[in-house]
Amino acid sequence: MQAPAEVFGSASPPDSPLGRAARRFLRHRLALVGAVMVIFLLIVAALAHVLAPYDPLDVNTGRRMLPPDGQNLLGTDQVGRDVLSRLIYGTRVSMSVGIVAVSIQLTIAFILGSLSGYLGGKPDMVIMRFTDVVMTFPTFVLVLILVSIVGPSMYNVMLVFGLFAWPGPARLVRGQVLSLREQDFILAARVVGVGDWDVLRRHLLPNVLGPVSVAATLGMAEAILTEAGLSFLGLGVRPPTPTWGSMIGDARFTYVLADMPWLWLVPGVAISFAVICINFIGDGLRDAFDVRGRQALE
Amino acid sequence: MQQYLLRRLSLIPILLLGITLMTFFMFNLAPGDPVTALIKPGVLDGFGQGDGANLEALRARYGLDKPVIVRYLVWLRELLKGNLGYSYNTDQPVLETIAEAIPATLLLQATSIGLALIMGVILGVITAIKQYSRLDHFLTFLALFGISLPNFFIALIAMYVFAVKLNWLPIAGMWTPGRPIGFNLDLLHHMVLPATAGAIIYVASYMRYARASTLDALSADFVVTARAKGLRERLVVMRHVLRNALLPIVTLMGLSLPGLLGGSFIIETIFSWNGLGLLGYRALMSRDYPLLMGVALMVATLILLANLITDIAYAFVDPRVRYE
Repeated sequence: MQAPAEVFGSASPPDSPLGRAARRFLRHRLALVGAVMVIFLLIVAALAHVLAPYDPLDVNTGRRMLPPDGQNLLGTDQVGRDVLSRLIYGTRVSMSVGIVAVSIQLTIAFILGSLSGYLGGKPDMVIMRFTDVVMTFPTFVLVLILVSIVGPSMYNVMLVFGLFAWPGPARLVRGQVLSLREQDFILAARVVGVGDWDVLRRHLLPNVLGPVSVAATLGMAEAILTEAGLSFLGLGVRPPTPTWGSMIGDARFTYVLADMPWLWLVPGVAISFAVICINFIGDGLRDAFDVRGRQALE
Repeated sequence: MQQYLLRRLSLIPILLLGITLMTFFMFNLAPGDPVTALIKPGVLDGFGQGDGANLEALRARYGLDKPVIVRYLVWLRELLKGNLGYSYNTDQPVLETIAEAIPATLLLQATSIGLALIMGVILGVITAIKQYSRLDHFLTFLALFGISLPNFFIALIAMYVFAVKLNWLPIAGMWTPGRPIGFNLDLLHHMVLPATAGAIIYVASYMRYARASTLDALSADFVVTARAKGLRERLVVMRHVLRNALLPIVTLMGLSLPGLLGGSFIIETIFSWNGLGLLGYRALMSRDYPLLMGVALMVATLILLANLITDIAYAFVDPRVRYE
């Protein structure tokens, strides 16, 4: 019975909620696989310049549209660029968009959601109506339009996604805070004279972490898919920067779709792989924190 | 019920106002002026050419020299009159262009949702009843894949396999060139690929949802009672479990509409399906802001209406909601 205390450090007692969740997460096999793979993708992204066999922008007119062979392991594209190198560099865009966009999204969601849930009354009503309005626009359409207005670039995709995809997680945080607010331990904290800010920071937010971590994985997957979709349509990250989405975008030409499947299959598998691994983590977290299906769906 | 309806309906004007505010200020960032775009093409032609004073007078007449709030109100007034402005590219009224595109999108989306609902619910209920069986594990795993694949990748694979390699289905478009257009078999034939490609993600997410709600219902007290009185398992499921498990699914249809309409930008573009999504994509590519603005407004309004219908339908079938 002493072992868990050692594993999770003396800071958390043997059966702290966080410790229990961590143990449950580690028992979830797919989630572990997902976590390892996402770490692998992050390393690839960080070391892209070392791992890529060629410069992803290097045009080689002598070796155009070639299927995979010994020299170009995943073939070359219409202007003779190495597909493997472009794939490796594409990891950078997807991973950074995923992480940065989700950080912005969750920061806004946390602030608006907890204010709304904790304050209640008029502020709650105003925030929730605002949320309703933002929610009537599909995130993808909003990001598509705004990015085309402010100019397509990786930073604008991250920023716009972060600024407009918060309604889902914000409602989640609000719901959690609303139900926690009425519980005895919060009342107890109030009775002994803990202030509003400290109640929010020390008692409410830690308890919201579980569901929010699930929302974070969903958000990261959505951000990666949104960037890929935008770049697929030619409206996301500008060429010639290699991104998975824009690589698949070439398949909008029927001759690429029909005769050069390596050009679009490979990045397509890469996106699917990344998103599946992130969703595995999300599934593991959902089980670990015992988040109910309905809340996690939103 | 009446009170719930009233409360729900009273929100609509506020939300609609919010939608117009957001659309206006979003497009106010774009080059050009949303209000200028409302002026019938041709009216401005005589002005402006070397005659700055005249243009100024015209701008003043339409209230364009006023601060942004006033311009918003001008725009809103025109909107209420049904004037959504004129397309930069075709000079056609935006409202007309959009009205022409809506039926194609609604047909495709309704088919996708219907397909996803039938498949998703059947698979979800089966996996719940056979919880922890090999079939359950396999389908749940498959569903995780289903929600992770990008819709454009699914669309391309489907296109590659069924249109390019097997040549069973047309690759794109709505009708075979030269054949009669209208609601006919040719149209349905062209719809198979886009409708299925758009539905896959939702089959997977409906399945997960249906599985969870069926499991919930299976462990409810009334099911224990039904079993305890000796009812056959088949009847327990058909009579008691399904009815209660499928209620929450109603909300899913409303929840998935934003995703479907957003996805229609991609699906319709890939399959050259002449609906709102392709219209929006073309407007984006040609910077046709008045048209794009109309599409955004229309999409948001459609979603608002769908949410309203879903909420009312849900309150109708589940009385508890009304007293929340």
